[in-house]
Amino acid sequence: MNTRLIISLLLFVSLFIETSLVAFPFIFILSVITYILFPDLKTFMTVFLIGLGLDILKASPVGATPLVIFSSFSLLDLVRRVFELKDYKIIILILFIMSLIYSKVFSYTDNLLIYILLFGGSLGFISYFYKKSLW
Amino acid sequence: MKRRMSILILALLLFSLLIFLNNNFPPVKFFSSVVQNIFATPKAFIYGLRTNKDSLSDSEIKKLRGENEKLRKKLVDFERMKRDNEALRSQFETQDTKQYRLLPSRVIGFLGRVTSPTTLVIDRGEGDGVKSGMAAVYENNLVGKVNKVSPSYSQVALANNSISSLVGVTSEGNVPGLVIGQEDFILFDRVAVSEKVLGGETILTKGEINDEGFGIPPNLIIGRVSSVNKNESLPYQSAKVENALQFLRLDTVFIVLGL
Repeated sequence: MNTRLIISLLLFVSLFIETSLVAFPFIFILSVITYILFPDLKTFMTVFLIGLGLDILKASPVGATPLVIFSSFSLLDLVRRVFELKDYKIIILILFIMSLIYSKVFSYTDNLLIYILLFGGSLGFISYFYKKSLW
Repeated sequence: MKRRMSILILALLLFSLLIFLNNNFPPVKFFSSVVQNIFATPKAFIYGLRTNKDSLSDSEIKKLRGENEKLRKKLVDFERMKRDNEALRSQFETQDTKQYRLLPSRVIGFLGRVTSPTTLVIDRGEGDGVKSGMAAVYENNLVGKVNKVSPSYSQVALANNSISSLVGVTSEGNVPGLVIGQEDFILFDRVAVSEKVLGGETILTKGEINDEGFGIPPNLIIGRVSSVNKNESLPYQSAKVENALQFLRLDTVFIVLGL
């Protein structure tokens, strides 16, 4: 099945899950993953609209989430250019740190164990099934 | 190609900043209102899946919890009547019974930890007359204070939120102190060391009404003292307070619109 379609559906479902069932930054993490896999205009527009939707549904100042997400994209680009990153392990580590900071700033769950399990599991999954560099 | 991507990211970043700085712009408010109204019911349904866990718990435990709550309320009423009686006799103070204008609101989301949320999202906003600083209550318990308001939704900072700070008093001795949220519990701080705070005592709101006529009404239950930290050599003592309510179980709260 189309990976992009799956991620877009997950982004949309996360709109409901994120502030109603589990306070975990799914949208932030999925947005950055989408940008890494598909850095194009469609991704930017999807992320922008989903970010606005998240702010509206959280009753937060509208525009804060897209602002942070696009800043993260710029930061990721900068790190990639400066350090010439290609290894997915480093990307997952950067994503781990960014999501921890994001969750602390935006009052999501900050249980370190959950993040370690999630990112450690992702690292193991990618190491086993998907061994190419992403950039 | 990469330069074009960078320009696109920068453009969207600036556009997001523009929206962020102009939240009161009518098109932004209109768009927010439409989206919030459309998604209010599905969000309430999804949030209801969390709170309905209670239906699986033991009926005996539920019955005991209900009885405990009733007894706690009776104790607070008794202490207040005792003080009223003394006040009437000494003609020193009086106490009114006020009618509050309440707005029922569905809880449709939360922020914070899964096991101890610090903020609730409700389906009432500016359009329903909700303003920042209004109290959210459930029965005679304080849930929290409205801190962010959008066209159709609002955020309620719970009493255990680190930004929450209000004046409270003990139910028995009427000892004043500062009630500060500490994420996992509530701290009853800045209590003079000469005063007596007992374990198990109930902490009530003192009442903070602004000049517009809304705020935190008095005599709402905040929680129960679980432990006291007292050092005679320090000017103040503090107490750890456990929430009176299980915030995870709340699916309806009432906003106090005015007195």
